[in-house]
Amino acid sequence: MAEAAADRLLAWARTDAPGPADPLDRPVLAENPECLHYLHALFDPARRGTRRLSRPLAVPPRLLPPA
Amino acid sequence: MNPYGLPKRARDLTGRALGPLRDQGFAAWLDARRPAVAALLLLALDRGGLAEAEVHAALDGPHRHERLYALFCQAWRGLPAWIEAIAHRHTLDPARLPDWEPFVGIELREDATGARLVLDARGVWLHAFDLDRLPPALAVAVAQTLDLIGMRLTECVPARDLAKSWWDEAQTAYAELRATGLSDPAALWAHVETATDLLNWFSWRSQEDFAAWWADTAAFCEPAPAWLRRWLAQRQRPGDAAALLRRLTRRLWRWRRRPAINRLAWFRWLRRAVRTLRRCARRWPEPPAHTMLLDPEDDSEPLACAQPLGFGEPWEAPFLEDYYAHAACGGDGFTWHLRCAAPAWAELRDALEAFAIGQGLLIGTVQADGHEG
Repeated sequence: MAEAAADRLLAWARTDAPGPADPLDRPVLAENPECLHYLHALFDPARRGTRRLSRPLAVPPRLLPPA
Repeated sequence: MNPYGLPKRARDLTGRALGPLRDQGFAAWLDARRPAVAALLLLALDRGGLAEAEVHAALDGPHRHERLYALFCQAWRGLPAWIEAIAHRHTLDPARLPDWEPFVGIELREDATGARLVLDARGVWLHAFDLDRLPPALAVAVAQTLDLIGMRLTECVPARDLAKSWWDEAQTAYAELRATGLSDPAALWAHVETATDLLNWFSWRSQEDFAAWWADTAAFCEPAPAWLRRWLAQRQRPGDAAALLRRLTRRLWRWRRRPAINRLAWFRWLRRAVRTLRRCARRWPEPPAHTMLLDPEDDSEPLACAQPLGFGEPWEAPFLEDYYAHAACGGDGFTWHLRCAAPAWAELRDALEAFAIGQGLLIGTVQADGHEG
């Protein structure tokens, strides 16, 4: 028998949300070497732990870009 | 540059660059509030405001969080209408329902411990009725039933209970002066001036001020209507709500064959209210809101204080005016805070349902009061 919607919602509420994705973890094209310099500093895996990513994009959904 | 090309390019840019961020944004908002969102979705599922298939589709679909957020909005928007419909079913005359919106608003608030549903009074709703013209036994039964509605279902309080703590000094002074055995206002005023320090504590500038205070306080401490004195005397004795309900049922059973009583709109209201209270007591042995209540984190007063029950006593109007003027100056309003979390969604539903049933019964009292005969 298929799982009831209520059970699925309860299970969804119980499970912890997956950790936030690192928005810098993506390919980036930079034409200006100065930018590249700054980006390298940002991308440095050693500094990943100091980035504050606890609430990425945690804005009210009405502020999100249009579909 | 082709001016017609720009909007399309801008749209493409938005779609390609920002589109993937949308679901991530919804996820960030929802993930921080999963228990509260799930509680409201479960409540909507239970009351039929959402279909099972919609929830399955949202959880399995590609834009899961965006869809869940849309369902959450749908559930939230349907909540007031659901409460209103329950209240409507429990009134005496469903054709004459007052506007619900101005009395209470619902909002979701968050704090460090989780989310809470806050019912916030938008105004004061005084339920005032005249029981003096009823047979005293019926008037007492009505007042006792109103007490039970306030204890077990919704948030309301007799204006007399509000005044009791507000006027404790006046009651003490009245008892002190009454003990002198004097009854003539002039003699009392002379006693106040010469033998007491009450002038330091009360703002009586003349004998007329004192006489007005004396009349109001006497009406409060020693009310004239016989039913009111009997009701107050019975309230002094600690009793069990179940025993009181049984007594009310027996009384209704006796009155059903007495045309002087059974034709009154108040009798119809009482029969309906007692039946409803018995049904609720079977369903909820303890008032359902008790396990869900949270302390307000601000300086707000309980919601019950925004819904006083008045019996047309002479001191009521000036007292309520003072009380609400004071509340408007210093307070944070009148609120009711309920825990909102998925494991306790059924308790949340019961608390809101009991609240709505109680509101319906209170609206019925005002309808019964307006009926002649």
